[in-house]
Amino acid sequence: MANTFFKSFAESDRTSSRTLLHEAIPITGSLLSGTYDAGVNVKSFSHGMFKSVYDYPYLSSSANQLFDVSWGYNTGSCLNKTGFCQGGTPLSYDIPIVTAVTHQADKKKNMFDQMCQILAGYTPEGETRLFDFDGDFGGGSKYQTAAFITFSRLLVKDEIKKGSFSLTLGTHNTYETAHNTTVTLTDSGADTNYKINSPAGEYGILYTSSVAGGGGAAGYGDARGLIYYQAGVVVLPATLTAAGGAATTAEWVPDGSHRDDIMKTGSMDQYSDGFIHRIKNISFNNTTELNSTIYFCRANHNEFNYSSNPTYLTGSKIRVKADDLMMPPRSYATTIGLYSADNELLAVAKLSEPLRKDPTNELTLRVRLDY
Amino acid sequence: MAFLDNSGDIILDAVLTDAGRQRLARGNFKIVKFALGDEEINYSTFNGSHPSGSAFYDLEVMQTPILEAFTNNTSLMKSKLVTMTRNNILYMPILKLNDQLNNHNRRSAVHGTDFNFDDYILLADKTTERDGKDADFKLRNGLLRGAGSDTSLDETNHIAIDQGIDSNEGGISFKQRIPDDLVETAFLIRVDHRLLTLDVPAADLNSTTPLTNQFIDDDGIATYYVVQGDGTTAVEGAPNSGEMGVLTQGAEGRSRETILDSNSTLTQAQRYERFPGPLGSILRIYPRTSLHLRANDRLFIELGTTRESGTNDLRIGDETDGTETLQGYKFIDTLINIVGVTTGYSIDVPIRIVKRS
Repeated sequence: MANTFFKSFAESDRTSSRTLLHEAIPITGSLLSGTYDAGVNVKSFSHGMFKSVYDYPYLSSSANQLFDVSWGYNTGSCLNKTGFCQGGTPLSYDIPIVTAVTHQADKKKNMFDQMCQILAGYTPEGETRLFDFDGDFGGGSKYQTAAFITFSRLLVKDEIKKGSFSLTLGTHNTYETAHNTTVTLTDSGADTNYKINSPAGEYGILYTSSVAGGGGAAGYGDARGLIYYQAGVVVLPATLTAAGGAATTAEWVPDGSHRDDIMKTGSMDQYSDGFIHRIKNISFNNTTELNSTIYFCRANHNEFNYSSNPTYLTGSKIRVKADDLMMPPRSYATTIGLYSADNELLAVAKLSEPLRKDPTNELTLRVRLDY
Repeated sequence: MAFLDNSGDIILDAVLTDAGRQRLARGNFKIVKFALGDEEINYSTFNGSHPSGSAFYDLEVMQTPILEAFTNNTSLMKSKLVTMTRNNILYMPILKLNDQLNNHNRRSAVHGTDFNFDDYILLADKTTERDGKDADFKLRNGLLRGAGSDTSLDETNHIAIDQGIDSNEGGISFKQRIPDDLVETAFLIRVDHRLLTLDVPAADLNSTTPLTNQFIDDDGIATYYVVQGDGTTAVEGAPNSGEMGVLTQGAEGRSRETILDSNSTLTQAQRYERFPGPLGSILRIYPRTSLHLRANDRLFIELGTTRESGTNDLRIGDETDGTETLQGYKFIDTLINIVGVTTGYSIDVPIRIVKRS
């Protein structure tokens, strides 16, 4: 064996693995309304199509974006308590929205269409699919209005962990006491039961796990929303917050304007402000997929027993031999360097304490690189 | 970087270096080999005469705190563990800059060329070499022509690194042969590519040839690999015949021939050598300034120092017949790092690049 300080890896010295790492992401309502002066952590844009929520006043460099809120409606939609039309046909108490919307109508439609394109995809005929309440594109209830919560990549990482999502919304009629009654949506059971027929990846259905202060009204099903795990988007009926109270008279903004009036004659920003105000709590676990390569660095008994450390020698004499030619050499490893074929240092691993290496021992050091 | 917690199990703190991340981005990231390093270890704390016995020899060494990994690829793995199949090695060769005084025009030499700088000075361009005049003149020892001009005028024209055993204990002599398995046959050389390139002696020994770098890392550090028998004479092997070699003048550098065991021969040989013990190989390099450095002053402004005329003027003409002095110049101090591939021993050669203002 040639004297050297490099040792090549054999094929058996290298393997790979995949690890999923989860973090808990709690977003409390006090962060969204109450902790900061109104609006300082919610950013508006001149186009007025969505609002971005930050964890800190957004003008600060310390602020991190949490999520955006927007909403839109489908052409031909109507406003009922749940925001969808049974079988596409307006129910008797639906309020036609198409002609009623007088402000930002095109932008609201565009927003809805855009999200449908991305998250629901197209029919074989090339038409945009609508969001489906039960995830079955074959029929059933479709969303005609939708509120969108798009979470930032910082929170979602690779994806939202299935079965971990929870969203609590205030449903009380009065603006000031919006959280007196709440509805909580969860993707219960989604870890083993989720949908894969979206072009944006896997998604699950959000169910009402509790409706406090009333609810269970006729026409309400359990399914009240969709969550797209890889895209990090939650889709809810835009009228969902009426679940615990009157459908059309919920005070949406501080001046007492009602939600449905805001949807028809108000701006998208006004709707988003009211929606953010009613978020009491959001929590989920995110997922980071770590792909690892594991290198087994094997130092046999007759390898790496000497050192090129300048202190290893005094003059040219090896210190650790203590003047005894027959004393076995020894060295102390603190670092592992991983190299390319042309000797460039590509990765490095440090041991927490020196490891003695001499002809009487062998070392196998397992170095894991995550990507 | 903080120290690693060494109170419990041994852990590994692994990171990609900046060069590794750059290669990932370029799509040529492939790890094929490893090395072990020990740069935190101070082997002088090894106490081979501890009164409590051999179990206590390395007590201090084993308590060395270890820093977290740096991500700069050139800041780590400065000293590596070395594989040698024999266990009965007591003396290991090292590398030294051969700057012996001489009257030999292929030898490097240093003569206190600047008030505070005793190492090699590389003149950046032709204008500097001629001090702004029209004709070449002989440079004083220790000065190198960075533009690769005709060097027949000068005594110093290259940098020589010698390998050898730095001891004469117990009858060790430079007349003896260095064991074959300790002789360096290849070297890694790292230079700042923004500043320098390298030439080596050509196979015909009468000229130089540019060396091609292996790669340039994210920090602009170029790595060159030279090996004995690569078509150049950059690496001259250890003396390999008869008794060990006296040095005589060859066409390019020293050629080592049989030492006659006479006092005069020994004395003559010792004049050229840096080691009292057996000799290994010699590495010869010709540093050249980069085209970028010759063409503009930006790096001198960014990395260097300016000396105004009248303060520390730098005499560049020969001691005997030259009076040429640079009055007003800029300079950059840098290092050339050289690693012997067999023993892993490395040295840094300081070099000052000077350009006439």
